[in-house]
Amino acid sequence: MNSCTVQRGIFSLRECGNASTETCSQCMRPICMEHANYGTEQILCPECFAASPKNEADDDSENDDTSDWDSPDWSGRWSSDYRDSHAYVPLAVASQHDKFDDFDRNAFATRSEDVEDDGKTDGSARFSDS
Amino acid sequence: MSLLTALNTYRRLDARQRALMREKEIDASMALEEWIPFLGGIARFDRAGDGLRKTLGWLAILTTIIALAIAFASESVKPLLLGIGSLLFAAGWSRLREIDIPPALDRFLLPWLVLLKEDVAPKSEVSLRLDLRGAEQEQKSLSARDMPNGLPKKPSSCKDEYFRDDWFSGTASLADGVVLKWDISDLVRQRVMTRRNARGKTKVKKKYKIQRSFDVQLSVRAKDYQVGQPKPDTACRESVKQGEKRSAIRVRTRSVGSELQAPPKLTEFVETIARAYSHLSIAPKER
Repeated sequence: MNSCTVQRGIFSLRECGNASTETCSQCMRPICMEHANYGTEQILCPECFAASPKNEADDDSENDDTSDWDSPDWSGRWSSDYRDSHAYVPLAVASQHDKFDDFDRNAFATRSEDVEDDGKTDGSARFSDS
Repeated sequence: MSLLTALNTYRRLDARQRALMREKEIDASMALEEWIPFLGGIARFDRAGDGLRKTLGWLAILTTIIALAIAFASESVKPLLLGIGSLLFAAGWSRLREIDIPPALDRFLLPWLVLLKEDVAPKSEVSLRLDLRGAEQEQKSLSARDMPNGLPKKPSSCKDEYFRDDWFSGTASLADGVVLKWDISDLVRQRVMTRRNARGKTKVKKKYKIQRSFDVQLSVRAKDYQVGQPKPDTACRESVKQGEKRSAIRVRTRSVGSELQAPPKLTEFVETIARAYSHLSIAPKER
């Protein structure tokens, strides 16, 4: 089963990782129940929901509006507004690069050693222009 | 309508929630999945209760006036019944006032917990210490003094009293391995000015000045994060302590207001934490 690909977090971003139960109707990525917005006719991920015309119209509201904290998409909307208004870039802790294991790293290490060796002896043997 | 809503929301509260509404203090550790419905139930009742309290207050005044008017005009049982009704409305108003919760719970604290849910480590508990009794308590008083008569318009007397209200603090383990601690406290100056006018009428005026401080500490693992040194900044106080295993970043910001029950601004609080985070960069992975 695919896992939810929505990035969550205010101060440090990481992938949600919950088991996906839905697919975003617009960007087609897998999302979990917690991040699926059922309010519209379609099921949308938080980013597509925030970019939908209805919510763009609501963007004029005050940034520090905390009155509807109990609505399911409030934290996503608030943090997105906060990042936009304060030009805040959270740390991306669990980026794709952290997911490479030793096998992947070794593959790159071997390739670079080959290049160095080739450069010393006959660099044109493998990487020729013509 | 507001009576039914308030009664329904009150019926849904459990014994612990009702106890918190009476005592207005709690110091406990729970998962955020428990904290949010626990405090959320109280906030929902408080919202409904505020509307009902206003209605009851007006009804108590109205029935008293009508009862007095009828009592002067005729000798019937109606004013007595209206008087009893007025007393009941006043009792309801008074009871709701006793269990009233400051707006900070609904406008700041719960939104903060909902935001924190995005960052908190799964299955971890969040410790909260909450004191919603308000600043003007005897045990929170720091000092009191009579001010010399050098103030504008020269009041007959002027008394300043200072209170320190450490009303909200907490600790949470975040998903990225950081331990976040925060402490929000208010330093309140209450100024009571008494002035006597030419006709001998005395007027008492109360004014407040509140200095609110956010104190945020991050404890980070050295293997996860590299910590940069803070730059001197007058807007906030920052300090960094680097250790072999863990480092600590502390940021303190202050804001000044004049409304006693005004909830803190969530953006200002989040900005304080974001400032602490701005000193962090992800440590390169060891091979």
